[in-house]
Amino acid sequence: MEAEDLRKEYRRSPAQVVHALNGVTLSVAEGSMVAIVGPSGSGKSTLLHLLGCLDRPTAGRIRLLGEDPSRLPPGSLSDFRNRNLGFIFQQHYLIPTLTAWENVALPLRYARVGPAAARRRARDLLAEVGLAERLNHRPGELSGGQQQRVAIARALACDPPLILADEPTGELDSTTTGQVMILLRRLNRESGRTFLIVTHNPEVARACDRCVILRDGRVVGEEGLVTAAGAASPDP
Amino acid sequence: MVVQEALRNLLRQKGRTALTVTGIVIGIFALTVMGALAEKFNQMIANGERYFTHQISVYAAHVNGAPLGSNFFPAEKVEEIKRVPGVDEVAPEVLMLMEEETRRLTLGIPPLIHGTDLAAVARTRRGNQLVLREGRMPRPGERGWVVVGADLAFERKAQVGEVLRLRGRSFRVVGVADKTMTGPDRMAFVALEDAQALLAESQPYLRLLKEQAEAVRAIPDFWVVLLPPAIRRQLQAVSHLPVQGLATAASVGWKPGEDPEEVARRIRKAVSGVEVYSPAEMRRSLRQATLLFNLLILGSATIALVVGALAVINTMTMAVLERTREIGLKRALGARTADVLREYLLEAGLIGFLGGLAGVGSGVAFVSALNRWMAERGAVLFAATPRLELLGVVLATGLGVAAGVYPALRAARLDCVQALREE
Ligand SMILES: Nc1ncnc2c1ncn2[C@@H]1O[C@H](COP(=O)(O)OP(=O)(O)OP(=O)(O)O)[C@@H](O)[C@H]1O
Ligand SMILES: [Mg+2]
Repeated sequence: MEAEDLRKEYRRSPAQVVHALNGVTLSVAEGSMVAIVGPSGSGKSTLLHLLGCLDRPTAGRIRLLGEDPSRLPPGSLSDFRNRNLGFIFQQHYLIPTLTAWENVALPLRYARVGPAAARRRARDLLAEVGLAERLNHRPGELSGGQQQRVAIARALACDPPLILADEPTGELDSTTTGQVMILLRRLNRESGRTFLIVTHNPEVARACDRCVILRDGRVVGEEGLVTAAGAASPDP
Repeated sequence: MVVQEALRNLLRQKGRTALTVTGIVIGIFALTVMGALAEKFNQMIANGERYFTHQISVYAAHVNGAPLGSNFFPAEKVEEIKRVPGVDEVAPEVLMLMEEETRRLTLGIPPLIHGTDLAAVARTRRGNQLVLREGRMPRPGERGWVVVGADLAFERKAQVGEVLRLRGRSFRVVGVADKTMTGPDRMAFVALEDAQALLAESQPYLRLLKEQAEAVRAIPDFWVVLLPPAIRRQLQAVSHLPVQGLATAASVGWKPGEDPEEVARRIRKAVSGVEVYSPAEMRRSLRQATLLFNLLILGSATIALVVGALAVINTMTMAVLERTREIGLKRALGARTADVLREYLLEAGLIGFLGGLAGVGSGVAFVSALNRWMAERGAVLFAATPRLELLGVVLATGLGVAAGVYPALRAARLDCVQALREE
């Protein structure tokens, strides 16, 4: 996965333009687990949304699994996401009216997988994340850590090679955070999936192979090392 | 699973969903009840069409405000009609209310006495005659018989062989007619002569004439002989007044090969004091009645349904606003705009479907209760036909889907990132 000189502007009015991303160049090796850290408002979520084909960059190029998503016909972007990308958001991004297995089966619904096969797959995935006993629980009946494990199982539903997580442990305590990270690491090692994890938590960042630091829409360093570019433009 | 999800979504805001569904229920309830009324009316009209379009109908010219049975023509009119070229058979008829000016409000067709020569009517209608469920047709020249219409037989618990009292006279029930779904169901068919006698008794004016004639006949002849010739002639005229051969209507048949429309025109031209309806005119006036009635009902039901539709739009728009983040999430997981659209249309359709089921259900229950109650009083007013029930459910579902289009489009067009950022 590669990003080259990505820019994203939010134009609220002609006079007021927010530069959420200011030319991010990033390359992530297949099978690696990369953390993206940075202060609030630095553009982490924006970067994730662009890489996840949820939004289009104002400028710059993205290559995902050998494809340029901007060249895909607009209608097929949903299918591309469905097949190749798994998303993990904060814990309240489960659908409250659906049971654990139904939440996990949601991407399969959009992949046009039959209900019986979807149910089987969801059950296997929930067993894999240690929730075999919680198939028919609603999110409201699960703890925060359990909910997040459901979300992880859901990200794996269509067996995507790339998983994007936006603060997956944002609302979890440190013990649960540790458990979730152990799970993500295991999934990364066992299946060779690529993980990109946006986080505020240094522990989470430490558990990853690499850590990219973002500030004001720019990559300013890696693995805690501030690059020359970052040093040249200190915070105002 | 998608349907289940839609159902659960509806249960999220139980109160709101209940209100919206109620809105549709009311609309569909109104549609079912009014529609059942229209269906019954349509059935009657359709059967009436079958019944009346095989004859040319001639009625005594109408006097404004006069009740049924007070317009009549003398026997000579029948002869006059018979002489019109193209006319085959003329069956004079006496139609009169079974009860003098009904005190209570009657709905539907009031019970009628129909005096006629059933055999002659059958000939004018080319075999489209009354079919009996029980008993037999009267024999030629027989008197004192009655053939009872299906509904009337039910109301008066009349059975073959028993006696039925009509306007103070006793009649022997010889037959019970099959159900026709129209006028004849509430008619008592009697011999023309019997009905003519009843008619003569029912009209104060005719009664007076009859009494005068009887009084004149009672004058001993030797008295009459002594009277001046002018007065003698007057008395003779009075004693022979035609109170016997009166008819209120006639069923006219046409000769084979004749155009009934043309024959009707000829009757109209040649015979005065009568109103003539050709088969086509009868059909037209019957259809006009149905059309107006159906439009009226359609209109009122439409208003009720528009209210229901607005409720659905409102509810679904609110649901979309509440679930913005959920929609963004689904898009991230690979849902196409068409998927989101379909899910929300389904939910809206489900509201309509549930409302439709409940509306048709309550409507049918109401209508059949009312029918049972009314049957004892002699008028079945509603016909909740299968096609009406189907229409109710289909219309409600379609309405839900249609009303869901705007909110569902809103959901499908949500900007994915914006929706995900929603708190
Ligand atoms: N729709 C928008 N319109 C205008 N500005 C926006 C919009 N979305 C994001 N921004 C701005 O873009 C910048 C980057 O936002 P982003 O959400 O990517 O930050 P973040 O690093 O994820 O922050 P956090 O850690 O708080 O989640 C912020 O300054 C934000 O205000
Ligand atoms: Mg963020």
